[in-house]
Amino acid sequence: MVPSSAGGAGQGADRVARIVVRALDGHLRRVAATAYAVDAEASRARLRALHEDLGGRRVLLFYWIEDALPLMLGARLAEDLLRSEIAFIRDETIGGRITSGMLERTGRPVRDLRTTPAAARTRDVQDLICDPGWLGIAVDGRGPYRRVGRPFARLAARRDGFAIPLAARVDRAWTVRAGATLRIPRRGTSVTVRFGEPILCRSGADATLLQLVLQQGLDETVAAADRALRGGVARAATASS
Amino acid sequence: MPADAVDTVVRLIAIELEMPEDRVRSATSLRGELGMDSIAAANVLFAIEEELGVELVLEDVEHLDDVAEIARVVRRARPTTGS
Repeated sequence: MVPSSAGGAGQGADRVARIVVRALDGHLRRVAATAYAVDAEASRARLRALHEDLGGRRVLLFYWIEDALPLMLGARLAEDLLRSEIAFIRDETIGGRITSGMLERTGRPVRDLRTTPAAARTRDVQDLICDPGWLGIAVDGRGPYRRVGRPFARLAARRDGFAIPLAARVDRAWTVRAGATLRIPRRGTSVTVRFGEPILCRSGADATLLQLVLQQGLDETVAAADRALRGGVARAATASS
Repeated sequence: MPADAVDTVVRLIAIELEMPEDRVRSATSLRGELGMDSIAAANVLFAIEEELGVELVLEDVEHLDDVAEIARVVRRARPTTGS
């Protein structure tokens, strides 16, 4: 449960999120039956290699909120793609509640990032800074979309570890704007998941510069995933013709 | 607990936000006036805990938005144990 510090509004959002999560979970199960995973083995191998290199370090996997549901589809098609030791950060946006609710249904751990009261948020931020493990976070859930914010860059620097851009792309999806921009994969879609180059985020790093580096890293990873998706779809079409 | 908790809080906020102590001292809202976000607040609390060797208790604190409130938290902090 998301903490109910926001009172009735927060509990109402919880109820809505639970209903949506159930519906989306069933939908993704049906989509997975007809979906095609592009380069899934390469993605798994890449994550294994990252774990071998950075296993003992603090890592933030960061992605656009629009990639959250495609990411879950990718994980459904390749069970070990999102390893269970990665904890996902749950904020109180509707997108955060929905995506973390779906992750929770798969048994993956979540970490809360409350909005209010301010002291609770501050303590949650402290817990995230101190967390020694791998965390996953959608960085644009509060908008502006597709932008890495300065607070995220400062959080990454304060953790004194690595940030890894993560993209999950689909070629058939509905785009829904309901408090967040979500992309809901459709039946027959292809999906690819791509991990970018780790970015060293040192404590005391210039936040403005780091923000630019993180933005560029995620933009490049998404662009590479889109290219891989188009290539994979084209190969599949050629093979079937 | 230190009698000069306010001074300590003001100094550490000024360092974190890179602004003069006078400006911090006169602000009525750290978030609204000085732009202190949750990362900065977390950094300030870390700095207070490290400098004073205490553990801050935030359970019944809500706003954490002015120097006096943070100083109150500092005054009732408990000493860090086990280190």
